[in-house]
Amino acid sequence: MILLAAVIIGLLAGFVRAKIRKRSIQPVRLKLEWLIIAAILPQILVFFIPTTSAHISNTWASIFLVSSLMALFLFCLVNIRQPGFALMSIGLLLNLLVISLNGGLMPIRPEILGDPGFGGWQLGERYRLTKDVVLPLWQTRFWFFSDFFITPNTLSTRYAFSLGDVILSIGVIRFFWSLGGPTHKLANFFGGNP
Amino acid sequence: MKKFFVKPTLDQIRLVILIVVVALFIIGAGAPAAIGGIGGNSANSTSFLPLW
Repeated sequence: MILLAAVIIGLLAGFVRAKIRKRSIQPVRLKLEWLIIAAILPQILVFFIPTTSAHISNTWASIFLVSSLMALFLFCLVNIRQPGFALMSIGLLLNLLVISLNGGLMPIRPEILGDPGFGGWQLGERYRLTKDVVLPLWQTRFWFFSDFFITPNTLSTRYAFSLGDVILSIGVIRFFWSLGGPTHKLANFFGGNP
Repeated sequence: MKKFFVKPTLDQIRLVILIVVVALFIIGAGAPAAIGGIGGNSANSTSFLPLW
């Protein structure tokens, strides 16, 4: 759950900003919040719970993932005036683009997964319970938007991530940072950029 | 005697909901993959990003 680091960093930044300004953090009301639950529920079943995940084919996993990302993109669009949501939309769109163009799952290159026998992966198959499919770079459309990057090996767990993930994280940090800033009603009136 | 549990304000409840919503959003929208422990599964991948 490396992306949750963005939530923690953003929150800390927002709290510090609010503290400096001697005010409390200002939560905003987002539109269509229920859409998040509707979009994330299939993903939890398909990618996060091993017992249910094992019964779902790659085809259905792809369909669920693409539909879920489209719903999340809609959520971004209706909240686009909130700070950080434009960046989140771009990051999500990049992930959605590369996933859609590569069969419905996020491509990951085999070089970073090491030995197939040890790593338990097969070319062209979904990588464990993740949203990823193992594809060589030459077979990957828009490979530069795929899970191409990896975290340094000083971390206890290494992660492969995409450019879209990075932009999403910056958007989330930007959003929480804005909560510690000037009043949102005024900021939103001027284009959501406090 | 001091109260141990203070009733949360509406803003505090709102903030918790917001954090949960945004956390769920980023979990759903992002697509990173855990690829192993220190050194990873990959004997070849010892360098920082990206691996060319």
